[in-house]
Amino acid sequence: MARRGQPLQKGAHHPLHSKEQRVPEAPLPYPRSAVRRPIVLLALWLALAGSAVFAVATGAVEVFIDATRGAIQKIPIAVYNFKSGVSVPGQSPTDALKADLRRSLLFDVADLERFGIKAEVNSQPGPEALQKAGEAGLPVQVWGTVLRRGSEIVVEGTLFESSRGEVGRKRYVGSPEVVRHMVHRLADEIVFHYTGEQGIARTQIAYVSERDGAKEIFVMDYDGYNRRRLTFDASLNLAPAWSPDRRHLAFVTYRKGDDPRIEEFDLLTGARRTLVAFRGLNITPEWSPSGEELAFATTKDGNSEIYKVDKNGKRFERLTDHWGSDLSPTWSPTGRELAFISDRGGTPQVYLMSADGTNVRPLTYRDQHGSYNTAAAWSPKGDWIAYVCRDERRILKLCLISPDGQQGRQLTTGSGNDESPSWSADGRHIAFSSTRNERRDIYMINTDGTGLERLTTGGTSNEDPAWSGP
Amino acid sequence: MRSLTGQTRCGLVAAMFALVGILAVGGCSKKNVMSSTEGAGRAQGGAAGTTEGGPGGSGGFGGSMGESGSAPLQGFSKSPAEEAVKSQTPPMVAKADQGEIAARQAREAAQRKLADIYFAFDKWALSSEGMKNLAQSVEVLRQNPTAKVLIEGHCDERGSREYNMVLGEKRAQETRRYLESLGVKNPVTVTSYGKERPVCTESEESCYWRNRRAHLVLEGEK
Repeated sequence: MARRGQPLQKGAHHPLHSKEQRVPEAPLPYPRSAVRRPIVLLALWLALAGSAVFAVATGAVEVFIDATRGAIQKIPIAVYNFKSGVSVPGQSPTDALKADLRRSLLFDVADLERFGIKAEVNSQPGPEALQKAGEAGLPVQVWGTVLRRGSEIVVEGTLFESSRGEVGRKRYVGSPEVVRHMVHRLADEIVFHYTGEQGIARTQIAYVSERDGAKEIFVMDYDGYNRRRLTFDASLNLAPAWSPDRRHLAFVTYRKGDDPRIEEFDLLTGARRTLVAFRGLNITPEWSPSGEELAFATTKDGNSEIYKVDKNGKRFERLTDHWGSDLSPTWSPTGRELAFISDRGGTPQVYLMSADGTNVRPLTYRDQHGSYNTAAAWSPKGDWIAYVCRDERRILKLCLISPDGQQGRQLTTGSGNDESPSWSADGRHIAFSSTRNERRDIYMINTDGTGLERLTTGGTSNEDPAWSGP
Repeated sequence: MRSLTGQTRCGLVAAMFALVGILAVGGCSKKNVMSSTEGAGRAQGGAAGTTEGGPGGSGGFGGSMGESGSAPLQGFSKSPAEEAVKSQTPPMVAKADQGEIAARQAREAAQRKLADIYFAFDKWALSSEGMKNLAQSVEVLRQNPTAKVLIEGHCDERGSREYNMVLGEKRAQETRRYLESLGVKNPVTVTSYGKERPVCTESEESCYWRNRRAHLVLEGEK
């Protein structure tokens, strides 16, 4: 499932962690020899590029900097096998940590054996191993222990840099069931240390799973482990959506009657309450980034229109007003704009509007992007909007488009219908459902199209994923 | 990577700062975005660096899910305090209402199936066959003028989940319009199940057409 670490060049140094101050090797649009020209020219080019972005940003459309991972080198990291005094069923803590680091797309996880260094250590590697690893171009190294203490497990991890020695350690304690979660926390601490970014190793994915003819809400760790059923309503529960603080799940339910309504479930207290129950269909709920409002679609006016409501379900505000069908609202990370689906032009397409419903304009067009585009999802980083498109075989696939409409591509290929895109908090992965292997399951993929992983197994259908925040 | 000359290196670094400055002015800073999405009590975690003897506990920030693994990060330390880690998995399940489930199932058992009307792919117009089937149901409805009619719209699996909800409702609404045009006075409600309640799941036309339907049931007949 997880990708193997890529082989490293001997002598490669990561710009951030070698003693010399090096500028990261970004792809420049001119040959290297041009660097020798007066620096004034370079500064001028950067100023122009920067001001071009600035000019677009002051327009009606919000433009976000495209955080292309490819332009930045990954940090080579080596993880020694954690010394474990505990037998952990399933994946080892070491492998779980490596998988977390790989999935962050920030690290090149090295295969120590390939450098003639023993991965197996007794609580920590010896000085010769550390030096050898440093010389081999592995500037960051991690090791740790998983030991039993009474009825609890203590996980310790050490972060080490070849150029400066031990950076620091972490120590976690908890019951045996949370060893994976301790490792995920360690992975996120490593990510945060190098980037200031909240990692995704501790995130959860809520989803819908069919059981005995009913559809119920489930949650699992972002890597597919620790699945847990949340509803037992023997009805249809669909379209889960996380509040930004991860405390609530909104979802669509038929349990109270023929009209699907939107319900909110408090994950901490277990409390359930109805948020939206208009006559007609109440569907596609999405919390705003502040958590103060919920956008949704309702057919109470005869056709599907987008509304928003405050988090207490009291004050409703209508956002769309058109005889066409408007649905699937998704918020920009600033909360100032929404993308949504509308067939007001004849076919379902992706549209944009301000958070008060003004300034509605199309983003996808039939002649350019096909006649069936649905299920928009705005990345929490703002640089892409994912949506479900239809390829030439009329099979549903995932597509990406930038909010200014200038860039777009098809993200998934192959057989089966791919649906319900949901972004990771770091904006580098998308969870989705797919029937590419007969039965419908939830998968994740990197936004560059690599790293496809299946997350669910079992049941008759797993669908509608919603990826939590950090 | 070849080493750059000192002068060139300084110049490039200066240029990078210039670019960062321009981007910051452009107001597209993601850092602003992150801080504006903070819910109560969810700080960004410890400093990106080491802390000496960092605070212990799993982050007692009021209002956050302090018990879970999603508590704020604390950073690395040379002498780390122990962090108690609880499960990331949400602690509560949504309690079902057994009375509600029983009532719903009893109601469905008491419903009388009237007709299934079929539709063409991506369409909600009634076929002449569909109209004929509906006309036959009208007789049953005339004998039970107070019984309620429920029309459910359904779709085959080939459209997207959400848009199919809308398509299903259009099929149900079209069916209701036709019944009313035939003079039906019974109370009629419509709903849609999109593609969520298929009668079959094979990925082929022999199954697809059976799902593109309006399903009519009668309830409360005497």
